[in-house]
Amino acid sequence: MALLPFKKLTLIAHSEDAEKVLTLLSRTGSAEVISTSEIEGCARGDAASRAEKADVRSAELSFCFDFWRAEKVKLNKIVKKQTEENPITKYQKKKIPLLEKIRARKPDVSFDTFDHILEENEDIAAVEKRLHEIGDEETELKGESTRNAALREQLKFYETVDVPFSDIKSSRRVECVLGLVPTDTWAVADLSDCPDLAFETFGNRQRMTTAFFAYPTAEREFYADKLASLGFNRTTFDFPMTAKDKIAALTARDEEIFRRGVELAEEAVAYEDEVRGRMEILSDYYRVEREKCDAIDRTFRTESTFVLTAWVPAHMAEDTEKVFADSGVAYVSMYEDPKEDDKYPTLAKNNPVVTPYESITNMYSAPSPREIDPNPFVAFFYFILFGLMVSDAAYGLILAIGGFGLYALKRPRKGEGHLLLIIGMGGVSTFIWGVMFGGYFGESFFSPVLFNPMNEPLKMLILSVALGVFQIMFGMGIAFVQKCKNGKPFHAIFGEGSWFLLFIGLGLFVASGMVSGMAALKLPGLIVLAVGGAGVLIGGAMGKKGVKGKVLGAFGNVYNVTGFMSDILSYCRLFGLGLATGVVGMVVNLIATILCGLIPVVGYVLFVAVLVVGHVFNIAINTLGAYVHNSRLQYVEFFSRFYTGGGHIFKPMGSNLKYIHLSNKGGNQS
Amino acid sequence: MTLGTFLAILGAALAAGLAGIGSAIGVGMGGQAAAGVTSEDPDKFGSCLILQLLPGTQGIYGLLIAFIVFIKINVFSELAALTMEQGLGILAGCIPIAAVGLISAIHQGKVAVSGMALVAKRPEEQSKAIVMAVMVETYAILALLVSFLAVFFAL
Repeated sequence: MALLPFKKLTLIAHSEDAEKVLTLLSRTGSAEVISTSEIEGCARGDAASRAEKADVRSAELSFCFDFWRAEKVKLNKIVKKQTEENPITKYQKKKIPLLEKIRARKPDVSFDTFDHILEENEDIAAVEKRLHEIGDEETELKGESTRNAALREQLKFYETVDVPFSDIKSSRRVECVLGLVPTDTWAVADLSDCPDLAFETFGNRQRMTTAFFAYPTAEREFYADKLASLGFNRTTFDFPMTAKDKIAALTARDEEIFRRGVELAEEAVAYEDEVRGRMEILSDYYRVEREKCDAIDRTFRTESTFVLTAWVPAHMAEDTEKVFADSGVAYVSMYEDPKEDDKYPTLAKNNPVVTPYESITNMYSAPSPREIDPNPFVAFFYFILFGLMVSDAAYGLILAIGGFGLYALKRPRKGEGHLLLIIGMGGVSTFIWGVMFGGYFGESFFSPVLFNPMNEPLKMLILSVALGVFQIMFGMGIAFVQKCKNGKPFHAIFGEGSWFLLFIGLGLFVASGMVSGMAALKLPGLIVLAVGGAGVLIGGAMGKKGVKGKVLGAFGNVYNVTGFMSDILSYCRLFGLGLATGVVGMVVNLIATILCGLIPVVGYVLFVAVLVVGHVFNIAINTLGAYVHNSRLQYVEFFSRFYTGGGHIFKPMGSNLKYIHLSNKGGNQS
Repeated sequence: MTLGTFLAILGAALAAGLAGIGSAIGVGMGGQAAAGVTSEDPDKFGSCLILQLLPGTQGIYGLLIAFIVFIKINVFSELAALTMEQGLGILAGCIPIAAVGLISAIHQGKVAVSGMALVAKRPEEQSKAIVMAVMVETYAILALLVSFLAVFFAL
């Protein structure tokens, strides 16, 4: 139930054992290597070229993974479009049963397999090479197809000319040309000065007219100029085919290209089953390799030794030491407690109920390693507030069964599936509050234990604000304890302490005026209020320099009252969200009932449909709302009272794995 | 129907209508940005969807107030005959959620769009983008609170 202490490990070993040491450390998963402080006469470790090699290989592997994904997307699209009479590809999307999909998780790989993954993978190299070839061919085909499309577009102007282009030849006496002339100019062209010009047009397309001209070769210059002035553009096509045939040929070629593309995609995807598993291990191998390189860069070395520094959780120090002792490596190690200004990593250890909520805290910022672990408090308040926002017993039951049920089905590894547990526990909380308020699917089938927020909204509002006051006070209490622990009791007393007095005094004073029989409390209330106020003034003045600074600080501190007020009012969202669930549920029921009465028989179907869709929507939108608004209340209203954060989560070497899970299963540890 | 009843229905219509328009605009902006991010990386669809949905709550709040007005004036069975003063009271009560719902949803949509840009570059910061967008909603919730109390206790 706390943030764990760390030890600083300094380790010296022979350079030739460096690889072995790094491998051992990445296996124990107990060390985050940090920069060794500078040692005179020694050089920093340098693994730049090794890191580069790893990066290149990683990039190569991700190329393959991306390539496969793209090819599968392509094939899936074709599969969706193709008909049974005209099948294009035999490719089939792998159908994974739902249960397996839910249970999907990173495969276990033994250390042994992991360390020997570099051996015997000529086939992977071959696949990579082939994938590149396929990619190149596809690019080429794609280019050809684009060019074909452009050419086809041009040829369409000549579709109506039923003579092959090569047949349009000029003779010694007559020159013949085919081309396009703008329709607008052609329509108003004055050809009165061209007695010897013969022409034929072949229709218009995109404001261009396809035209054939013939004129005497002897007067070529005159006619060429004339035609140019009309905007005539002679075609460059000269192949022995009509435009129509050429278009057909191009279309046929495009079809071929398409088929070839499908073939290539099928071939590429076919390799996946064979090598992907090992390539994923390889990919993670290079991730660890990269971590090792970073670790080397942080060491210092002499000619034959190196010095490595790392943070090791105190409880793992002994095991780590044992692994080294058993390994046969010659080494010297030293474990020190962190110094005052050392910033060591954060590793929280909590009971299984609190652990999932660590992810909520870490989303904001990981705790700084020396402060009080906020996770148990976050867990407590998150649990309470979640249910209040959804506040429907039936929804709660569904969420609890859904969250815990999926978790049970999935059986995630330790440290995963936290969100499911948060939702499941949120469901429990929702159920409890739902019973309190008597909300079941937006109806009140059972009378509420506390009150019905729809009938008595003021009570609901007071409850929300009261919870807010409680949580904020609680946060200040933590700050109070923390300040006392850090040896600043005066800060605690004049900070949080005087605010407490001020609020208690205010409460007594207000109560004396409003509740009969408590009038006697007026004076004590005022006294407590005054003492508290004075404390707040002193607290504001503390640590400020000069009279002016002290006065400004003192009154500035009083101004914080507005901050408290707005923070407390912020808890009204509990009221709003809680009520929204009930009302939307009610609306759904009402619409369903109205529809049911409106149309006979069909009405019943609609009734069920509206109920199911409506309530599923309501659960979804409100769970999402509860999740984010709850987080906000923790982050902004609660954390601002005591929490500093800014720590970084412990990331031991060897933990950066994307595809696999390393374990001792099926392999030995040597 | 009396003028008072008409005014109450007008209030309900404004609450659901304006807050709904705001949400439609906000969710619409979010959808455009989400489509852009998803086209680059289909895996980010989930994160973008949550951000896109956030400005949608104002519409629900508007609906909630409209519905409470309907219950109050008994739309579903025998319509209550309200005096003009009563009707004006309900209309006034509807204004906070109508106005704040409209404007806050649009602004929340803008924050959600920026949040998607953040998610596109740094997917791990999704929760921060969500919290930023949720900040805007605070004021819609406060308006909901005022509208609710006003409508609930006006009659």
